[in-house]
Amino acid sequence: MSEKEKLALLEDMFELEEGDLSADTVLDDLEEWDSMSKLSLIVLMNDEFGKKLSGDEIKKFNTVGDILAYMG
Amino acid sequence: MNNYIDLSNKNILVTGASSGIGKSLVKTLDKYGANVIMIARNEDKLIEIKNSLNGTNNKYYPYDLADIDGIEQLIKHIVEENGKLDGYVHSAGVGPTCPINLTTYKFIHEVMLVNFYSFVEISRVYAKKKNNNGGSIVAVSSMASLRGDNAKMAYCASKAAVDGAVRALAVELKAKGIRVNSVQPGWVNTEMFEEYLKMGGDDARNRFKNNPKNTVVEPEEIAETISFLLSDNASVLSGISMITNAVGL
Ligand SMILES: NC(=O)c1ccc[n+]([C@@H]2O[C@H](COP(=O)([O-])OP(=O)(O)OC[C@H]3O[C@@H](n4cnc5c(N)ncnc54)[C@H](OP(=O)(O)O)[C@@H]3O)[C@@H](O)[C@H]2O)c1
Repeated sequence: MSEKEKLALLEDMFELEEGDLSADTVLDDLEEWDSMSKLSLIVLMNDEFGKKLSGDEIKKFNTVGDILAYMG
Repeated sequence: MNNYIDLSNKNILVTGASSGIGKSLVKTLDKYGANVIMIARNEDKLIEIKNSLNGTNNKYYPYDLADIDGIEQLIKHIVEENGKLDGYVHSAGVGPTCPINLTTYKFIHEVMLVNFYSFVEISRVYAKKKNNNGGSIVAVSSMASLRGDNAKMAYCASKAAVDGAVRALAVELKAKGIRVNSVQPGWVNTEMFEEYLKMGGDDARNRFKNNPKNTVVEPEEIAETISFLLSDNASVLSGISMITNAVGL
């Protein structure tokens, strides 16, 4: 999956517009980065990338780029 | 046997027997003298549990309950090998966390297969005259049937479906001498609970700090209540769902 497609998945998950996110976006600056979106990310990671993410691992993500890197 | 609960030589079918509440229940039923018939997918775990029991008439049947179409054949086979059933406990279940934006009908269907459809299918087959000596059916529902929770819509709906079915089955199966009830645990210290904490991290863990409404109980405690519902001591209980969270609503 290209970086653009991965960003589109995240934008959809956060209910943001196309182009709202970039790899540099700091997660804590996003109003949408709350406990529910973190759960959504866990499900998305499992469904789309077959990766089991935990609540504690999520705490290590600072930017959208960290999520993209984890997606692999 | 001097136990208050006596299930000597009763054939009790337990789904979800390989882990958590089901596993504890198997051990408790063994203590009360029952012949336990275990169902789950993980054969290695079932063998290990069977080997830990005192009774010699316990059996296991590895089976994926999402395969609803094969259930009638499975029960037929079990009854042929063990005789008619005296009780059935449905502890098999999945409790996935999924926010509403990702909860598709396909996702709900996966949850319903194990939590609800397999329960009603086994109950349907159990209720045939050739398969039972009357007896007692107990579903392991959840307090999630009564109160909502974040990212748990499919799970809550599946447990509410179970409790609705319990009330209807209790009425319809009364004439056959079969009682049907459910227990509604809150939080139970099992692998499902561990999984929930792992996924939710600190947000989840904080829910259990100094909050009596979120008391965590041990699976053995739920197993005792289920054993009571299976026994003749509970002869007047049918069509009810018992909140088993040690604190109430
Ligand atoms: N733990 C709690 O806090 C809690 C609270 C309220 C209600 N409950 C309910 O209690 C019941 C037991 O949960 P638990 O906490 O004991 O969970 P658990 O430790 O995860 O055990 C679940 C059991 O279900 C079986 N199972 C799952 N999918 C299956 C399938 N497709 N076919 C056959 N067996 C299947 C598993 O066996 P295999 O993997 O070997 O197939 C396992 O034995 C569930 O219905 C759950 O909803 C739990």
